[in-house]
Amino acid sequence: MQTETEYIREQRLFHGMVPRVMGTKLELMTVGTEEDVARNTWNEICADAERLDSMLNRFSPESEISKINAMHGCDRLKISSELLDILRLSIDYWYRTEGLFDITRGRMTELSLTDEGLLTISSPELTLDFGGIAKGYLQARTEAKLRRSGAECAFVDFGNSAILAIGHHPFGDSWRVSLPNPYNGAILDEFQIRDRALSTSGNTPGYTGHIVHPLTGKANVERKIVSVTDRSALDAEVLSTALMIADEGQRLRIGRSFPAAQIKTYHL
Amino acid sequence: MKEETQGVDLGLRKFIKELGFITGGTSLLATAPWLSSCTPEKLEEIKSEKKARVAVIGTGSRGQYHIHNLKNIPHAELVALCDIYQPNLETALALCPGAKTYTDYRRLLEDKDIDGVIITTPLHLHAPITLDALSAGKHVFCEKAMARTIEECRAVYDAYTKTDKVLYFCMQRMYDEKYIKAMQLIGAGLIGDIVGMRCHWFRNADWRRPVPSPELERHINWRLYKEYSGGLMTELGTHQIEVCNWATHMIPTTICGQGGIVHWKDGREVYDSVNVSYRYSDGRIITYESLISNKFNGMEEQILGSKGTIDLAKGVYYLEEDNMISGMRQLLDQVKTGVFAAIPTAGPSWKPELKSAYVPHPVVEGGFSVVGGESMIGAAQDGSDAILSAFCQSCITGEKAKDVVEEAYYSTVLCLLGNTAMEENRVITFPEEYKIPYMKF
Repeated sequence: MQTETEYIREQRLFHGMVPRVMGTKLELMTVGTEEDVARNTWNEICADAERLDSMLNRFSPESEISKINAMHGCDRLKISSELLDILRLSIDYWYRTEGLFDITRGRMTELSLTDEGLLTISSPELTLDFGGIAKGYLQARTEAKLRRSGAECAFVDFGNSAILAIGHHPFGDSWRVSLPNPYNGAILDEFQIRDRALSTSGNTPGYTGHIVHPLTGKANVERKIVSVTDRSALDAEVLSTALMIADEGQRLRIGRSFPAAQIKTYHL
Repeated sequence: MKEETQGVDLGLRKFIKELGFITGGTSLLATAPWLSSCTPEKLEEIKSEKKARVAVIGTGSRGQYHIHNLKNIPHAELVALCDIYQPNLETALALCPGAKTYTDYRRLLEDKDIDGVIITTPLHLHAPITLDALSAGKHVFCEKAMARTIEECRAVYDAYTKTDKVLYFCMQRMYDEKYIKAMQLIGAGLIGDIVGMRCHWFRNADWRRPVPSPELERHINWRLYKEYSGGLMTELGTHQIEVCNWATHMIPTTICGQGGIVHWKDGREVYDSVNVSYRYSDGRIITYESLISNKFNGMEEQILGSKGTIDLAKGVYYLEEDNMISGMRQLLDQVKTGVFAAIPTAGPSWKPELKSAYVPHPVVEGGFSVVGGESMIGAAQDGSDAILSAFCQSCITGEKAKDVVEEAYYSTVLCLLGNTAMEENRVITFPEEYKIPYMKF
């Protein structure tokens, strides 16, 4: 995998960048970490990202997901243990978001897991798409790796839409991130985040309609952005996607089942 | 070198194997069904059998290019050569000293020791020789384009539907790994919906060959004269229009364009500048352009999608959302200079900047061959070797390559209609009587 790194000893500042993984760009900054530790952690994160990408990337014919999707249905299929974990998480989120977060695009009832973790897909039209959870899952694993490495100041930017802030900016008490309006560039809001993740979903002038309501099949084309901060990167990622298509009642109910989440909706 | 390690197209076969064509690689089957006749497993089955005994008709530069490739195909044996031009015949014979030589292709077709023929003649001879060869019971591999006229194209296609012989046209992109992989990525939605296509082939050369004596001018520089050639459209455009149809799974319904002899005013009859527009029934347009007095733009085949662009010829793709201002870059600068401020990083997607800021991503990981398009003969590893090897395999098995003739048919007819549109300065609707049961309009 192509990566770029730099380390500045005076500030013990490390920066790593992968120009393309999981369809986007991944960047990490740590401050105050020794070079060998920072580089080792970065290498672990990259290896993790590459492995997850090759497992979950539905555009790659060799990925585990593509192979499952190419079967057009399966009966008690044994899948990798990590995919099983992600699948169980996805099903849990499906329940907690009243079916709005859906890796099957409205066909969740045609998917089942046995107690032993064997996968059955009863409809040939059901395809799995982990695009809504993959980044959050990688962010959660990245956070664990950074904390294990002892990082106290770290900032992870995963394609702008998924941000993770560990500790604080070396010259401040948090990390400050602003949210520009994609239609005119004006700043909509500013977040001061510390030991939290920030996930943003929405439409932009050049990229609209990519979130599809799983129950109606309609693409959301509203000029709207949803930003969620949460201690859990996974929760934030799932929520920002689900709430883009939630009605008012769903928004309130789903919000209550994620009490740590701070949710903001912007109508543009 | 051991025989099993020989072979010009090992890369493609390895690629097919890696994608698990036999063991459930359904996406490859959907993307390039013609590969099903040349899988490594099927090649293994014929290894102990006789070799394909083939002959080359037309021993000019392209014929010699194929002869070089044939020598590296373990399941091929070049047994005969034919040309009316003695210097080329002698050059070709020096490459394969054991081959029989002919100056009349009809005599060659009577040779019972020949299984298949490789036709690399000027365009106007493609159809007559192909039809005669099929009638004589030979398998046929013919250079693109399919034929000089749309009537001949139809006659060849009709003959193909009635024969049990295999017929290939050298649409080498169909056997080029980076094209196949790119088509898979397009099919998987990488660049979103296809919204348009821009293809062009630019060179800066007169397209001439040296002529030893004046009476040979039309014979050697056949590409420049309408009696023998469809000009840039049939010589270059066929490949590029073909890949557009391959990507969209449709055939254009209307054609218009303009062309002229802009720079090389040397007595030639075919345009040295063409600009043709093909419109599909759903409104999508192929913009096709070729010019041979400026090479700035080179050769490109851009499939434009709502989320990105694939340049098939270069084997790279670009994503719309790649263009972004890096908030992280601002953050780095802050930390270096002791500033604590907000960075405008949060958002649903990236901000577009300039075209030059698009990041190219390779379609195929690792090394792969990119053809610049300057050569008039052909480049190494552009799929020509693989399709020729597939033909030789078919000569032994008798298995036709799915869709190759159909792809060649439509791309040739469309290019010929493009010529008509330019010459008559009118919008042409694809004629009903030339529609064949392949793809939708």
